[in-house]
Amino acid sequence: MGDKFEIRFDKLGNVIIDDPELQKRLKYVLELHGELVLRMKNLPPGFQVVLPQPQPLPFPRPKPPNPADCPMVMCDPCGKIRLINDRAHDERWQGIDGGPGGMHGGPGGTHGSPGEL
Amino acid sequence: MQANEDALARALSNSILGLTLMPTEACNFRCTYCYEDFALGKMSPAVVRGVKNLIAARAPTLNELYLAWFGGEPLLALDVVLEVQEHVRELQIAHPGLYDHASMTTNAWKLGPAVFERLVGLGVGQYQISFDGPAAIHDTKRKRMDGKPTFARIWDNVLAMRGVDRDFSVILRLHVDRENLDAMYGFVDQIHEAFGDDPRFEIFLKTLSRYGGPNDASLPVLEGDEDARRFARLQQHAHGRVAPAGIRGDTRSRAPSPARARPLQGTAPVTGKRSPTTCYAAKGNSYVVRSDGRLCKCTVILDHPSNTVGRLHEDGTVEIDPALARPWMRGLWSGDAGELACPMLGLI
Repeated sequence: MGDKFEIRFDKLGNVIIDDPELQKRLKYVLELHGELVLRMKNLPPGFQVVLPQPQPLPFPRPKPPNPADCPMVMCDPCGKIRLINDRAHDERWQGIDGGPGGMHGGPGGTHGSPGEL
Repeated sequence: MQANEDALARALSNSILGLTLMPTEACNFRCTYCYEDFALGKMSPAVVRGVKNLIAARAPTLNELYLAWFGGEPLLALDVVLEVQEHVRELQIAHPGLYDHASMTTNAWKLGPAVFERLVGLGVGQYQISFDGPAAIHDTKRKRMDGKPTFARIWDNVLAMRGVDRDFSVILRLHVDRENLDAMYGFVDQIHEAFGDDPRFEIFLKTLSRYGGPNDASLPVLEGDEDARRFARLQQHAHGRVAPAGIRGDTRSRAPSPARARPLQGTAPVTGKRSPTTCYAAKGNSYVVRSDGRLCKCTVILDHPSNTVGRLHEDGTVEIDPALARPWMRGLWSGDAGELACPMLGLI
């Protein structure tokens, strides 16, 4: 973005910004702010809100996550992707893989007996 | 973009609207330092309808509406204030998400208990009331149009506000100059004695400034390092005396030199350390509505050609010339603290 950006006004005085990048940045900040305003409205008299420092903006956009950091694993018995420590999923398949507890492996293990991958 | 992102977003947001309304530009006072010419009188019914129609048209998409009643003396047009505030109250029923904050800069001459309670009930919750020192000094500077004194009645009205069990705040603005600085110590103590236990009241020490009035050349403004030290000592005294409500100081750390004695923005300066103050004139979503319907940016240089950027029509629509409005907003993208705090400087 350059040093200046074009601003116009509609017939109700609304600010019209033609720069799409600036639009995105402002929308992001205002969404954060809007939540604060809602909280402020519900405060009892005499209370004050200390506004936090503005958060860093997601520009430039962050890189895609490294697949090695992905918390998803493939479930052997069902073949579906599940989140690690997804208890509901594990209970659904309880007993199939055997091992202590009957879930996907016992303590320290995943699909198998203790300590076994 | 160098400006604070949050300030920039708020200054350009269409969910926020700030209107400084001048229901009349007439005044019943003739303060010796005043810069206004009182040429325009009461806001016409067509302009009042324009204000109401504009707010109604914007209300569905507004989150925050800031109305600042200014003048002239706004309470000389109390009916206009009440009409607009009642209109906002009705709009809030239809649009519960609309947060309204209304303030008033008034000389408090007509701010008796009945008027005050009615205004507070309609959401005018913040007041700025000026004194020029204790009665003996105040009455030589802050006089009625007929030259008669004003202190006693203002003081009584402010004292009566204490007894109102409502949520409001009052900034007692004390104009400090070379002539009254020493007497301000005692006046600060007087205020502390009267309001020190009520956190709704606070003091704002403001150095007297030359804002372009006919008596500017003879105003005893604080100048130079020694005056700056005297003012700083007064601030320290006030800090120690007005604990519950707090004390506001002038934005300047030094008194202005004659060459720099230019108008500074009249908005309430801040206490403590914050990000740079952004004057309402620097924002894209804030306007001064003069009593004749002109849309301006600044309340100090009212009639300067660069100040008028558009017009409000009776149906609530506005015409704003972006080429005229943009120079006022230049601090938003320059990030310059001076241009944000007082964009008027450099334009005139």
